[in-house]
Amino acid sequence: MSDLLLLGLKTERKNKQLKRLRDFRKILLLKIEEKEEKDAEKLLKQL
Amino acid sequence: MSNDLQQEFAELSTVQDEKLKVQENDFSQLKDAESKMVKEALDILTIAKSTDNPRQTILKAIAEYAKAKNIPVLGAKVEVLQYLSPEWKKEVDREVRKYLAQNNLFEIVQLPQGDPRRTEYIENLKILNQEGYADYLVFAIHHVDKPKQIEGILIYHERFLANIKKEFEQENKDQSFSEKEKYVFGNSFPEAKKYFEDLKIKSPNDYNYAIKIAWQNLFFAKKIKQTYPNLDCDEITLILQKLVQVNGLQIGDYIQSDGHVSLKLDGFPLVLDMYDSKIRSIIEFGKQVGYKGNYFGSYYLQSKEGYYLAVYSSEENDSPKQILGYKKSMGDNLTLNTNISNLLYDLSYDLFQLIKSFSIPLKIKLYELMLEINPNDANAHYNYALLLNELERNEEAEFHYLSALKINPNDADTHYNYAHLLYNFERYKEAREHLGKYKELIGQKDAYYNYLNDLLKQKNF
Repeated sequence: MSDLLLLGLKTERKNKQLKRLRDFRKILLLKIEEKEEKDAEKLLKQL
Repeated sequence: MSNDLQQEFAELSTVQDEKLKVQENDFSQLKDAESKMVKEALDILTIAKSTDNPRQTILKAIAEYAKAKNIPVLGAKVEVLQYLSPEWKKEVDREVRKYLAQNNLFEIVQLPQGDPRRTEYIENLKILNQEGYADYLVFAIHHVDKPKQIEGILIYHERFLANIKKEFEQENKDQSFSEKEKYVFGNSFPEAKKYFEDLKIKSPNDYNYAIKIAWQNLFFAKKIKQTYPNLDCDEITLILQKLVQVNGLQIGDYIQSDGHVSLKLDGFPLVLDMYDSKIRSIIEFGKQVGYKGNYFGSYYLQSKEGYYLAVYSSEENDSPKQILGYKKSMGDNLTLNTNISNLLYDLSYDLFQLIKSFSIPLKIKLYELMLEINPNDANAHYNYALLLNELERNEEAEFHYLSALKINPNDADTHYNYAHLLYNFERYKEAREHLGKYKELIGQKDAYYNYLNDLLKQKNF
């Protein structure tokens, strides 16, 4: 009987973890963008 | 067949269908979430790989993530990085190990509330507990008096986790069915042997499955016992949870009660008691641990507030209907019981008995920490109240009894001990009410009841 509950809980856990990974991906992309902008600025200055 | 019975069967079959439907739905949702997780992790790694220094990029992003979520960096790594790849998982494991070795609980509890290191520790503990590291906490807390050994012990444990699945698969392949059969019979009590023998005649397919499950569970039970002979039942429970949830091993549900942990053999009325690694009938097990029903469901579920939803139930109450009801009514409040406060509680009792110099003041600090980790832990409130009661800090004891009752109004022992405190306060009417509740909850009069009942009668209440 508790298998049923467990299954639901496992799914809930996985969904939470998935949401965190998605949040992390957004931050990662933002960081990369920031770095690219900085690098581009640097490059411009050098030119 | 009588009409009533026919109707009952019809109802039961509807409920079973409903249960199956929910199960199928849940299962496909789980698979869906799992495959999305894998894809997301791969995407993240691919994105990072497109930069000059992928590792550095990920580490910078995780620091930013921790800031955004207002959690410690280690907690963020545990929440995210462990799921990226086996390599990242290993790295996170290593960091957790180091963190737990460097942050000794004895030191942390001495820090005042609000101290940044203490706050960080509490945050990390909560995340570790939720994200599959409860077994690490078992060792960090169990060996709190040997801080230098903690890291080594955790490395040993990691090796155990890495090897157990391989060892199982190997032995499973090497042993023939008749060898397994012999082993299972050799580790069963007479009533369980009889069950197997009857099943062999009635349903050979079920019998084969029962032997397979029993052998499998015996394998894990013995391995855990052999590797960790000194762990108590709460600790073993958390190790089992790790094996089931994180390593994905198919161990039956487990039952935990008054110093016993048992594995219920999936689909059969049999349990394997972790203490003697022997298979007995669930009824016999029930008698042994003092329960009267004839079937015991194994629920290791707690609400977010930290109390058990259902620990044991008799066959009568353990209907699919009720379980579906639970799910519906509790919804998001359900979470797995990986409650570390049980570990801390054990520690406060066992360890402080040995290390007298720490005793009372440290016990108090430990309860304060437990309640800071989870202010809604009814057990912690109750046990803290008992301690305060003992120290005659009665007003504070009352506060914690009441807090415990607010969270879990159906705990008989809390009602009894609170009734006793009220008696000491000479608040006899209230004491009578809580004593009444105690009797109602245990369903009979016992020696404790009679004792306080007599005292109250002498006061004309």
